[in-house]
Amino acid sequence: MLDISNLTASYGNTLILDAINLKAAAGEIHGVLGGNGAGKTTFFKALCRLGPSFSGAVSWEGTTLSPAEIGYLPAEPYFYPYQTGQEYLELCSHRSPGFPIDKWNGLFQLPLKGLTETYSTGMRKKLALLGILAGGYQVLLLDEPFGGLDLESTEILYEILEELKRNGLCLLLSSHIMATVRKVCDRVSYLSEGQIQQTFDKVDFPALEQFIKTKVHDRTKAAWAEIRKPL
Amino acid sequence: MMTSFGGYLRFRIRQLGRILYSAGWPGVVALPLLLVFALQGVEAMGGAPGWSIPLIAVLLSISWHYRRKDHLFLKRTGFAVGWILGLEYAMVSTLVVLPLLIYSGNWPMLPVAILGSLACGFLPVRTVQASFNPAFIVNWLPVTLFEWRSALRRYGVLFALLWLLSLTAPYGMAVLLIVLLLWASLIPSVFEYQEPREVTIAVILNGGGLWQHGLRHFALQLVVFVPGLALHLAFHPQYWYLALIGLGFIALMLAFSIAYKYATWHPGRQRVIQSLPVTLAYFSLFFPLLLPVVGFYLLRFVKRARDHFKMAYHA
Repeated sequence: MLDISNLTASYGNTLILDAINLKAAAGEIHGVLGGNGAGKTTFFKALCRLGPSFSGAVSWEGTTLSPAEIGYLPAEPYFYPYQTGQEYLELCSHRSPGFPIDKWNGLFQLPLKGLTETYSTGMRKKLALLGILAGGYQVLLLDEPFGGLDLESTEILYEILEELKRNGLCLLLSSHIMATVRKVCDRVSYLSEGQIQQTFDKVDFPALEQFIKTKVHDRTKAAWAEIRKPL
Repeated sequence: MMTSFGGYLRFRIRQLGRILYSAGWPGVVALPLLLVFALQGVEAMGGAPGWSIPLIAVLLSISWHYRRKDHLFLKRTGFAVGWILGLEYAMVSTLVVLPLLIYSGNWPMLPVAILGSLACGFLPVRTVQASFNPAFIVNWLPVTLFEWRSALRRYGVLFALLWLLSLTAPYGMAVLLIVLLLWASLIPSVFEYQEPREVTIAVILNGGGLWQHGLRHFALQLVVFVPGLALHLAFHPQYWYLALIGLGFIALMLAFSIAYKYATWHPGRQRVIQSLPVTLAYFSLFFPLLLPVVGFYLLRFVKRARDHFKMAYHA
């Protein structure tokens, strides 16, 4: 069980996350939803200690979890310049040398002999994903993993997520695509104003969609009335 | 055609400042290095056949032609690309071979060099981006020395030329020391990028820490310079300490560059900022009086790098 308690994060004096509590079991894909700027990426970055000042506790199966034990797929992955995809994966699998790079690449068929500079956005995302799989982490944070992927790769990623779930990994995933969330997530937490407003189980996903619609509708009703007002 | 070349030339001159700025350390270091190579070259060319002068011009032009990435841009902006590039290559390669021409007095080779360089502008261009250096330059290196693999793809020719120079150690007791100093001065450019955190975790954190990473890099330097060291010790055994001093500077620059890279780490920043302490470290190679200051900075950066690792990766 991944247990995040009282996670608070801020940039300077601006509080972004206010005492977040979240639990996710092994073999669970937990979605983190929220509007642009709600703090999803900051939440992931705070868990990996990338950027914001933070406080709080994170544990995995009852033991304190260090950031080095968390794999993170950023929304826009970065690679060391003038490095091939093969080299990147070999480096990432340095701590788990049994990782079969060629077999996993059979899924995406990336040109691993080529420099990462020649990769498209989607290919970079796939390489970064293989990189964190090669790292052998038990807890993975996936920030917009479907962004930039083509239709075939999206299907493959669905299969990969299912496989990881079967292998007992714990995944926190952010996405803006409701169909994706509905398909892959077991539970979803809705992040807004620096706090988790509500957590939904799979059976409650229709309620989640209604929750979002109501939230949006409340916000936009007045704006639409203004727009439609004759000049 | 000449009008568009004039326009292109003005455009290139305006770029000069930005080019020098973006050249960074390798560019700054390359200038004195090129001077050393030119002087060595002039001397070595004393007995070389005359055709080697246009050969140098053509090789320079070819390597430049296949490194540049602005062919498509120039074509789109309406320049007569073949002529433009050819004239640029001819101008620059003439300047490069000029000392050789003056030294050898072999002036009939000048038009051959110019025509050869001019022709290089019309060579077909590869459409796929690839590193300039052939794979054998990096494939022998362990993947954990990823900084060197990347640096050799970027500046492989420079490092290769310098290494070749180390094989001339028998010609003078200070040759190896000079080569090692110049090599050490290039080391900050090897560590000018930050790697993604997954690589840091796998290779540095779980691979024995910064200390072991530094040792791996130093071992590589020893392996690379075995032939040069052997030649130096065979021909100038009484000056063994000069080789030791050179290796000491390499160790210093390695330690400094690695510590500095992780001490100044910042999320989202992919390039290491070259600041005053790096400049001091660089100058300490030539003005040893600066060494205590560099030593002080080194200790400070080692502490900061350790703090960064504690903060970023440990519970």
